[in-house]
Amino acid sequence: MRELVPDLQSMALVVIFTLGDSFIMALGSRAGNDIWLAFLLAIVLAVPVIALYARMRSLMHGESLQEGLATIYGKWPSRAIALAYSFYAWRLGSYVLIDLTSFIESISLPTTPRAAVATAYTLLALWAAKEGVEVLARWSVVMIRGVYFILFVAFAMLVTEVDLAEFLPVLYDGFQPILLGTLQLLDVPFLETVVLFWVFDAFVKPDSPYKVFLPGFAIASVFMCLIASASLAVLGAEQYATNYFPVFVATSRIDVAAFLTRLESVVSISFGIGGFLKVAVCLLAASKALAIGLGFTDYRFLVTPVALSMIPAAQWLITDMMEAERIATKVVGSSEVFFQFVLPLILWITAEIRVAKGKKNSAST
Amino acid sequence: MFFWKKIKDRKPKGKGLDRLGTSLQTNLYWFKNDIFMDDASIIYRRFRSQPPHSRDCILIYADNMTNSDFLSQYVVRPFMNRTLPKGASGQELADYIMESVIQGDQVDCSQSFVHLSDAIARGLGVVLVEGCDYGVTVEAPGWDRRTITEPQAESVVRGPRQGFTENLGVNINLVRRIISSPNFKIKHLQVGLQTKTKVAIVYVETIASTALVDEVVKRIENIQIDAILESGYIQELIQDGPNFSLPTIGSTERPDIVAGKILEGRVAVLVDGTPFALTMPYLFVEAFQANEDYYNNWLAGTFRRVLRYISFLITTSSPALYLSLISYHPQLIPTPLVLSIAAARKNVPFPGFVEVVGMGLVFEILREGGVRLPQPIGQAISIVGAIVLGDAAVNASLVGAPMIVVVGLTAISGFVVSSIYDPAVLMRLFLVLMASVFGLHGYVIGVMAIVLQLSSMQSFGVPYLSSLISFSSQGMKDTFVRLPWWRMVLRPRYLGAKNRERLRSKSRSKSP
Repeated sequence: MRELVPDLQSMALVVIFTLGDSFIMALGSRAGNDIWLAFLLAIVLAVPVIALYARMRSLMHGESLQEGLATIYGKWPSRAIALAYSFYAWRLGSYVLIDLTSFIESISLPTTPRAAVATAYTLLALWAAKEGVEVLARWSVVMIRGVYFILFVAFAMLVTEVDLAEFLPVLYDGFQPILLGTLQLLDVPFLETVVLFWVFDAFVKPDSPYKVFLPGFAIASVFMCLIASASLAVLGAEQYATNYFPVFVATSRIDVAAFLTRLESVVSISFGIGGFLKVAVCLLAASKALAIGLGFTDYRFLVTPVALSMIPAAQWLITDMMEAERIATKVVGSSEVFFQFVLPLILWITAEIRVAKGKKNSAST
Repeated sequence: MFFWKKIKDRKPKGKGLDRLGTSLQTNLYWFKNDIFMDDASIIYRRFRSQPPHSRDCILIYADNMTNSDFLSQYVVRPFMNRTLPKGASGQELADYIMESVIQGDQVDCSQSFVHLSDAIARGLGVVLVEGCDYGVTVEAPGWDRRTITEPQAESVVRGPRQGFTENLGVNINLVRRIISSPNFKIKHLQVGLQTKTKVAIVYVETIASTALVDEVVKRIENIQIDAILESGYIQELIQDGPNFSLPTIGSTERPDIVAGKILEGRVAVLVDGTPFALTMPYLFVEAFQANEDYYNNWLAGTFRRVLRYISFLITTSSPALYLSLISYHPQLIPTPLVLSIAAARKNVPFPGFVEVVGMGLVFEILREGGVRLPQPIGQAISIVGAIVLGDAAVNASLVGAPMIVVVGLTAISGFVVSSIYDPAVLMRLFLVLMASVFGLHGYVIGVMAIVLQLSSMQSFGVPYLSSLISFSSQGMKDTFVRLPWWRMVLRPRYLGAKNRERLRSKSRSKSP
């Protein structure tokens, strides 16, 4: 069954996915007070890679993901690729679940077992993944307004706390911190967008993938840049890097007429929404890729086992907050580079060659 | 015995009772002793047509269902004053009777016992003539009708004061009087194996999509049920997502609402015997729209509409938010308020969850008790509710005073969105449960689950949240806001209307 999602709705899905749980942890903290530069550089570097993901989907236009992969790469290689990405999406989903549940545990529910919160979110994600990408996209359109509203209002109220002097002096430590911060940002969360490659069955028009991925990514990343920079301007570079949840801590400084205070719990709602969608999308991608890898046409019966396996994974992969922090803010991981950049690059070059060859063949016959 | 055998021999071959014979005696026997046996309300009026060649005739009708004056005046009298053609029989005679004798508007003939007995049961008069194997039916409805009044549940300050009645014909005419166009079409169907309820599907041919009309007809034709006592039966049988309590088919008692909806490209179903018409597809935003929004100034309409959305949020969320704030996140409440809430709840022995669920239940019981009671006893219930369960419960330290405020607020805002009152109650309960387990995060999980459910729902192929998820100004024009008429140029896209133009430009005039 092929689900066609209107471009604007898919874009909303891309935006919430990219925002995802990324506000929870300290994004690009290695860049110090030059975080905004690191963001700009990371956005500039990420756009071509994301355009590459879009290009690959565009090459498969007219076919479902499964058929497209099989025509370009052949039956068995495409299955192997799908299995590899299924693992990647599953692991990413589990990490997001960890971030989300550890955040909730440390901030508001210290006595509730983490597994209980993880189960609640996973069951909801399970349902969402079973409903399919069409429903998730519609869901995103409804939710995106809430997320933006909450974050916008919260950060508008922070204006009095912002100290632009925190950004000075620019480039005090040279380029190295910026580069580290950029790599950090590319790894988590910018190029995690590769997961979305596996979520959409098909697109409305051949150029739809560009219209979905690029503006979606641009909106989300610019918004992220603004929020991370604002948080840094409120907290200062040092506190931004040392706090587990810098954005959360920054919003806790809100104080409007001594009435609107401690709004951080409200802001954390938007983390919950983004985190949930990321888990659901990862689950959907993992199940879809697994179905392609195992040669099934329908993925829905795989959602439940994949989802249930994510709950214990979220318990075992990482045991404490320190570990979660380390993984979320590490400069670059070898498996991430492989899945986010190297493998897509190889796949793209292969796809271009095979498609060009195929066209030549069909032209000559 | 001999007589019986004679009839039996004359009885047509095949499955039991089928077609009329030429013998009046035999036909009458079957009606009297088989079909309507032991039914004292059926009247058999014998008379003869004028000589020469006078024939025996019988008029059969159900007492009090049929207008007997009309039948005597326009059926029996013309027969008595006229000579029937000699030797004529069968279709020829039936045609003569219909064309030259009976002076009624809706006359028909049939050979089938089943058809004729159905007609009698529906309140028609049936004339049988000696030597004719056709029965002639005459429409002469004579039962009491309720007059057209303003529906109590949907009264308006500004707007027409007409409401549907229990009579299908009257209801159709109420809509037709609003849309006086030949494009206004009506399809008649009959549903219910026992009740044989008449159902009319009404739409505007040049606007409603053909696929939608066909789908509605198909779904109604598929219904095989013994009885349709109210349009709710049809609603439940043909709606999408029947397991969730939110309606995917709208119901209204007002002809102006039906006209407005079918002029946007929807289809309405009117059912005989009930003033509630169904409109489909029905989307989530429609629960927040009211006809008066369109009759009053657009800014006022927008304001009222926003109020409805806020009320919906309050009625579904306030107990859950109150619960999660007092049990999990007291730091979010301003300090003086949290102190006074703590002081008010100091002597209450129950946890917040018990208080919230208990008071919520008490209110719902009071409401359910009050709705179906006669006015005087209803007042007694409100006194019990207000004084005993409100003030006294607080004084007895059974609940905290803030809880009464929350319950009151929830209840009043629930009545603002009365068309989805019951779903709102269920959502409220669900959110309270989630909030009691995970606090504010549980509330958010609950809201996400509800939105997920809404996103997955469809009504006749149209996504339930259609206009809410639109990004274009024409798509959003009639959701949170009600734009002025001169801005609502096009009909909603999601209904797939054949002709989307609703308003020609330059319709708005102003002084130079």
